[in-house]
Amino acid sequence: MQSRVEPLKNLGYGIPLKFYIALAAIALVFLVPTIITNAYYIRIAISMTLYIMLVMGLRLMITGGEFNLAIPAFMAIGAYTAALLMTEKGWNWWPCMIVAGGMAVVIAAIVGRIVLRVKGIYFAILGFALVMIMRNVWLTWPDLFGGTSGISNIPTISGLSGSLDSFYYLGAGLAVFTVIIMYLLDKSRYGLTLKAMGQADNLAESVGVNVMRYKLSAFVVGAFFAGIAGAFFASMQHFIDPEEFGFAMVLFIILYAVAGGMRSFIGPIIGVIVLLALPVGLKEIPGYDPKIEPIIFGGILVAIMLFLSQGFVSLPEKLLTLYKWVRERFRREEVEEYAAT
Amino acid sequence: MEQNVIIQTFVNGVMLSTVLILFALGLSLIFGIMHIVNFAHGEVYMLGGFGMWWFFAEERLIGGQGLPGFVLSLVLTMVLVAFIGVVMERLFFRKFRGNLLPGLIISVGLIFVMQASVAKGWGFLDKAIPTPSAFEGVIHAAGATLSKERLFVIVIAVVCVVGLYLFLMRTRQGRSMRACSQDPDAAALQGIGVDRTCSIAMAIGCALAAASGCLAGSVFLVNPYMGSFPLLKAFVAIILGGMGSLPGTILGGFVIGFTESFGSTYLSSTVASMLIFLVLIAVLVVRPMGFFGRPLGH
Amino acid sequence: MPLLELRGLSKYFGGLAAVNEVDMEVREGEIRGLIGPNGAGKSTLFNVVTGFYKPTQGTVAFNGEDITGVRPDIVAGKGLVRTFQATVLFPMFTVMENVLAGVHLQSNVGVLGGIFHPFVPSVREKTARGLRRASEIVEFMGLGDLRSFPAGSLPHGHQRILGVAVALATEPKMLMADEPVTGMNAEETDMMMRTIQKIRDELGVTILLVEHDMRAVMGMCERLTVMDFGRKIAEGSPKEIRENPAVIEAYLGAED
Repeated sequence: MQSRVEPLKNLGYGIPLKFYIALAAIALVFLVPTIITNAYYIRIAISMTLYIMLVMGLRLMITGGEFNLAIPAFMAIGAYTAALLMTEKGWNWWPCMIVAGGMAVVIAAIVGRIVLRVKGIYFAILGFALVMIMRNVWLTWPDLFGGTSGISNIPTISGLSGSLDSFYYLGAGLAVFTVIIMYLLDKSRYGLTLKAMGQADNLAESVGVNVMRYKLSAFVVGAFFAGIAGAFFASMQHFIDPEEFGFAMVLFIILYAVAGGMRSFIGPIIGVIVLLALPVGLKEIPGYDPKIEPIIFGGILVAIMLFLSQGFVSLPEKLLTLYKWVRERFRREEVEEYAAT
Repeated sequence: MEQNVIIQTFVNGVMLSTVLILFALGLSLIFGIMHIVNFAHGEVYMLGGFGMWWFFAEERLIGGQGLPGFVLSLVLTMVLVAFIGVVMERLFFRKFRGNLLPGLIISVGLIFVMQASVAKGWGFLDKAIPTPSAFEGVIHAAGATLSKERLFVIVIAVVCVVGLYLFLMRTRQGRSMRACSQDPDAAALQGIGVDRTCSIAMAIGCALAAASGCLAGSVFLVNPYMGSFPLLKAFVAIILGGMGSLPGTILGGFVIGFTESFGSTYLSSTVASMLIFLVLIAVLVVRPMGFFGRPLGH
Repeated sequence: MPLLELRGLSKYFGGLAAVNEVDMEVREGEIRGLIGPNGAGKSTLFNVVTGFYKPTQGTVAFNGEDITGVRPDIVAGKGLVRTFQATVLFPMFTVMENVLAGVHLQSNVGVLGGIFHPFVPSVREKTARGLRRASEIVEFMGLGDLRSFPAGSLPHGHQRILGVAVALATEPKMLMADEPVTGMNAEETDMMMRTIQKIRDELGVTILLVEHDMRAVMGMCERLTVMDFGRKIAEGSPKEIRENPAVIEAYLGAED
């Protein structure tokens, strides 16, 4: 019996060339610390790895038709779980990471069942609400969670040399892991079903798709990677407080995902990389005031929504179309000129 | 004295409610007529607060820091912010009318821009707005000590809401707006300029948010990040009352305001906030259309 | 035993009865028509039977099993599938991918299956099976030449055929088609009708058809059920229905 999967755009893993490009990209990712030595840049790269983990969770759910803005809440849950286990119980980071992810999964499974009954804009608003609820949970029991000052003196990750580069390698490893899992999901039958739901959930239901179950699973998967990212963040920064995982983080993941291009797979990744790298480049401009950075980001988001709704990744295609259009216009003018002579 | 605390908390609840209601009515109006969820509404509110500070606290108008100056600053701020709102609508929201999620995303972009612009221009520190001399101090009523300023804020908020009601019910423009919110296509067929109606809705909605910001700013403090606080609370109020229903928004506003006031006094402000968000989840799951709203998707 | 059995089925919206105490039986293997003036409640009936609405009263039994108020995806799992009155497709998928999505029931895959897909032969085989099945259906429905085209770019008639193809992918015992030829010209209507006939004749699928196009209905349906104002007002062969005074009244009355 033939088992090879015929590659379609939305199912199957595509041509071998893509595989080699991906391998090269992954290799490049791990070579970064040898190329870039500036500690400040490495820190930014670490932020990128964290945000990639978050943004891919958001993307998975968008594929299924819903805007999951609760991701920072699960990062917080992962961070606090890991932080508490390490500071109170003296655990090693590695099991903490697993438990942090597990905690996020469990809470997502319970909360998701309630919260996913709601759709569209209401679910988006609910995501914000969940983020704010978690923030208030940390503040309501200060004895447990450290209140406004959060939890500090979180030990580092054992087995790591403790240098910045070593944190980068771990972060990159986690991010690559996340992206690979997300890719496998996206191109499998599971991803196809999710994408179908995202386009017409009534049709999907009529052919036997349990829409709620799929949404819940996407919600939980997103929570898992957010939880792990949180555990990593807690140990890397050595302290966490409730404000880290609030309103602002939700806005940023929206920004990166949308600016990069929500529909494509690598769109959100590109969004994270470009927009986190941008401030570095901007700083080089003489007279630049970092305080206007949010204005630039906001401006980019507005411009994307107005003019380039599929995000950065659609830029090459749009430019190509523009180029062809311009070439066509010139050709027509040439023909007219020639005809006139 | 126990009675004093209860009455103060009650009056506080009324004040928080009415200020929130102004804000939420603006948001609800914009949603009902333009079918846009404007997350930057909080920043409009913040602009209102800053307008009040710039005109009144910095004494840039005649009337100084007395009552006339206060009212003049309020009105001027509302007009200016309304104008900014109309520009925003024309440039950014017109394309997304009826498209809720994209509208939300673009308003997120505007949040970034507005917050940072104000922070760059005037710094990120808190600023205070002085009380107009006529309303300094306290009065004693019903066995309690009440701040004159807070009572004054309640009065102004109520005046604004009544003004809105009269506008919507009694004027032709108001009727056009109600028609637009029920069925934009039918309204267009009847010759109602949908574009113009949306602009006016935006103007009024932003004016209300600005008023809310002015009043909140005078009682509390003003800073570039004050916009996020009322935003989510207003959403809870609107969803509780039923999206698209103005009386529902008023009802929801009172529920939220009192929850906040009594919750903060007798429990803690963080618990009060948590309660409010839990209410949101409960409403959305149990009765998503709220008290007076229409069922979603119909 | 009838394949589909409705007893006293009612659906109220507020005080308005969109479906009012309808009794109906559909025999296995028949092509049944459901007709009536606009607003008679036919689409509402479809929604109630397939679980998109919950009935206010009454029962629905399919293949001897009670499916009253059961979720649409479970209903599909039992072998009852419907198409939609509006053209509902997965617009960004190709024709092939659309039908592939419809094969869900035979090859659905959860998170773990999705992740380990390339490594677990049984999951790979499942997916491959799904692809083969989808391919067969695409050919059966005459869409083979269009298989790689995005569904959104197809002409209207082909989109509606695709809708039926997607429903067919669930390997149903019964297909409920809601106005399949809406917006089609005569040629497309003939094509659709011949295809539906083929579905019953070659695949043994029972058909319940809502349609306004009288030529199609009279030509194809072996029995007709007529609804007006939510109630069943007549049932019988096309000839009987054509001459039924209540039916004539309902249609004439609706023309005022």
